[in-house]
Amino acid sequence: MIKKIALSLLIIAFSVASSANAQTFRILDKNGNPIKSAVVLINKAALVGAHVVQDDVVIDQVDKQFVPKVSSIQQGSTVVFPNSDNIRHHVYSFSEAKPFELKLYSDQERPKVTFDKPGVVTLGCNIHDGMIGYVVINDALQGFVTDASGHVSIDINNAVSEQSQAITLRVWHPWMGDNLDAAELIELRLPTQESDIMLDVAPPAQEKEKKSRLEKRFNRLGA
Amino acid sequence: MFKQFKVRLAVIFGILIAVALCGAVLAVLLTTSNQVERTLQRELTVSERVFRELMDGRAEQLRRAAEVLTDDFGFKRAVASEDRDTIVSALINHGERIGTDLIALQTPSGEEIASTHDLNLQQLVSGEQGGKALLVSEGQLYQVVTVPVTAPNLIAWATLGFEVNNKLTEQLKELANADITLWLEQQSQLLASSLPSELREGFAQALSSEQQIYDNWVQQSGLALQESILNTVGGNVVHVSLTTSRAEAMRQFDELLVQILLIGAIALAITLIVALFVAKTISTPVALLSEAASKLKSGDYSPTNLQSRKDEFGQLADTFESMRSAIALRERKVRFQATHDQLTELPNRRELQRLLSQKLGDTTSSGWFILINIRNFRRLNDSVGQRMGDEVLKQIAERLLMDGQQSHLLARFGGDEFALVTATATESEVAHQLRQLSARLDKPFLVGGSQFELKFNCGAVQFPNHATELDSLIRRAQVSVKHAKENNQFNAFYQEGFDEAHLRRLAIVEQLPKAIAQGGFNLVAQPKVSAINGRTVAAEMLIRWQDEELGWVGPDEFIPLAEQSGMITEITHWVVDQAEQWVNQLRASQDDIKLSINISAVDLVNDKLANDLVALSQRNMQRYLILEVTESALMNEPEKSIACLQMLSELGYEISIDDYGTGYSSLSQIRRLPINELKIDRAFIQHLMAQPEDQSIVRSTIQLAHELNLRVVAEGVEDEASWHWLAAHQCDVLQGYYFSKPISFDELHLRLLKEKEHA
Repeated sequence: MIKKIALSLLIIAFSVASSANAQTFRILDKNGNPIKSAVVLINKAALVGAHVVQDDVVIDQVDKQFVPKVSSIQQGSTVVFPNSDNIRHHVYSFSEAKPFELKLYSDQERPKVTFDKPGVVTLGCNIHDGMIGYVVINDALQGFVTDASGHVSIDINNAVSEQSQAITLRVWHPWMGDNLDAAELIELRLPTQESDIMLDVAPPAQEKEKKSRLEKRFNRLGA
Repeated sequence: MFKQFKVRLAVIFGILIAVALCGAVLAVLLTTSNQVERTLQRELTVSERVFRELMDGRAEQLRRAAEVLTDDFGFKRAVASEDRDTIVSALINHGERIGTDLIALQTPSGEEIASTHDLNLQQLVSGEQGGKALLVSEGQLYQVVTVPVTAPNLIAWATLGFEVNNKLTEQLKELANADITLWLEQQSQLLASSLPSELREGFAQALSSEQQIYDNWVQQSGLALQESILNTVGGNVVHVSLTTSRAEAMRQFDELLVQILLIGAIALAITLIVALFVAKTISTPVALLSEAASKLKSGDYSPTNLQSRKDEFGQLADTFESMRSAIALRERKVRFQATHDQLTELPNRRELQRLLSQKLGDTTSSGWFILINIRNFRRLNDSVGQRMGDEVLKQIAERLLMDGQQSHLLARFGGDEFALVTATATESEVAHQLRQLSARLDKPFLVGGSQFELKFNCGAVQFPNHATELDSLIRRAQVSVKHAKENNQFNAFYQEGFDEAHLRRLAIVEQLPKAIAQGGFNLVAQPKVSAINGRTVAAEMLIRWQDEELGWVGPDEFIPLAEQSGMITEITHWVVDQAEQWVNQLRASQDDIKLSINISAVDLVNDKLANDLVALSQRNMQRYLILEVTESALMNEPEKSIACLQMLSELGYEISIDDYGTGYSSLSQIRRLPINELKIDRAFIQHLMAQPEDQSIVRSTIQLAHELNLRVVAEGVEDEASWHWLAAHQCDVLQGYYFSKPISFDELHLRLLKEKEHA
């Protein structure tokens, strides 16, 4: 039910966006597979409507994972870290943009963290090594995160000015490392058209299996 | 099978090497199998120690890792949260970090907080060894460490366990150098093994069977086994079976064995080659010697070409060579002796015959075969001794050789006979040669200071004209020699008929005994008449022989042969016997005549006749018999002959000298003999009337004989004139064809009857 509502909302948003000249790009890895959670950064000037600082960005913790895994926020935004799991988490970051620590807390608490420096903040959980999340904090740029099918929709101002006849996209993905400088630069001629953007990245060797043996053992014992 | 020496030697060497090799291999096998067993046990002991060390080391490593884990602040905080789910998630998270297979958390008092396995946690905490232990859970062996979680006081015990599985045993195997198999005693269950899957299954199966089967399996799988026990918490007994492949251990020894066998094979090959070589060095000279020996055996005495070597074979070859030359020398000597006369060193009769046979066989060759006989050589030998005789023979041989031409062949043919074979063509040439020879032989021979004159008789036969066969050639030569001898000539050339006469003589000699035994003779008598009135006063008994095969055989033919062979005594005996019968028959009819019997020279030296006549004289027969003896009969052994005649004369027998005038005896010699009658030979009487010389001889002979009181008989009176002449000259008795030819007893009887009637 919730999914259906979300889908209908998305469709409405898409139609609004398209009316506002929104363009959809698909980000692919070098094997041609769509990449989820890639961040497409674009100069705010090139956008029709710019994002602003937010106070209600949510990075939830569901089933020992950050949801969403990658968030793109404006500098100065505050992120809420609720805990939807029934176990405690100890969220922390040693990233330069925002070192912080949310000591073991349960779903009773909703701690907030304000990110006031641009950069990439890598999130972790002290007792769950598999939990990794990213917050991309932007200043002059605006970030768009690709969905599960690698799509991202951007309202690009396609009015050709005298200064520039092209715009530059920066595409970053966690596979590239914790530094935005590693992002790939993509030049699009104005006016842009909806297209697939292929990055020179590939997924790391293997994703960890979803449930470890030990976890299974504990589950077996009815934990 | 192994006739050849070299093969035999090679086989012996080969067997020796093979035996030595087998011994070596056996010793190596025995030693190595013992050694392998010891080594295996030692290695397994070491492996076990290594295994235990490794397990201990691993436990220590695990303990340190666990300590690092539990020292993690986040982990401590999670444990301190006392929220089980959080604790479990932290246990999972941290357990994963070091890859533990078992994790448990308990309160300091030992109560379980969370655990992946159903464990008796109390034991783990109280465990010694600094929390390190082995445990079996759900049929799985774990190596566990229990470490405290402090904050800062002890808030919990964390136990981390690691599976001891095939993978681990395989890793340990690399270090321990032996297969490690862990099994649970209670369930006979295989826990972990580094064995290959096949063996692992076999092991598991053997484990679940009886001990015997297990042991057998271990044996059959070619494994060396060492077992020990690991202690675990919870009282499970875990066995560690350390195994290693015997074959693996044996491999290096197998290599050794292969090397030994290879060396052996090479040694064998070399030995065989050496053996063959050695055998060859032995067998080659032996074969050469053998070859030389067989050459010698076949009668080839020519020098051998044996290599001169310095070794024993060389010595043998030298010895062989000297033996060969000695044999060759001896052979030559023997051959020479076999073919030559030792005295004169001339070829002997056999050799001559062989050579002659060759010549006769060769149609192109021709020549003369001359036999040279030494007359009366035996007498010489008897009188002067054999040594002198031999010396003479040598000289004769030398003289015969003097004219030795290459083409001539001189041989000693018999004891007193030499043979000469010449290639001379014509008879005149041979005659010339023989004259020269005669001249040489005529000279006296000087031996031991004495001179000997010898007479020779030669017989020459031309071949192939006169004879083509060896036997006839020799016989004809002998006949010719005889002919020469009889004719008192030095030599006689063979003429047609010589041989036939000779053969007849042989036949006569052959038939004589039969005639004597079967009475093949008969007697006739030739009357001896008175010169005054022509009346028969006596008769000469003459022997006649009509043979079935030989026909008429005259006394002239067979008497000399009978004398030579000694059979004459038998004949005389028969004649004497017949004469007695005749005398008896004549006396029965008052015919008072005497019968003359011819006595041979042989009879005079033989006792048989004397015995017969002695016996007859006892029957008063001496009055009726006259014994006629030739002059020449007395020449042979005159003393004995005269003694015999003397004896017979004394017995009363009248003795008559037959054929008087042909010999050389004079009346003065005869005077000494006890004789009564003289028979003038027919040669003087037959032609008496035509030969005045004969008349004077006869006349004087009669005169002289009468003066010696001898009765005179004339033989061969064939006419009346002679009778009258002889009667006129007082010849007493006449005998001849004019009066009567020899007649039979009946005719004699009739004649005497007629004379009585006319008287």
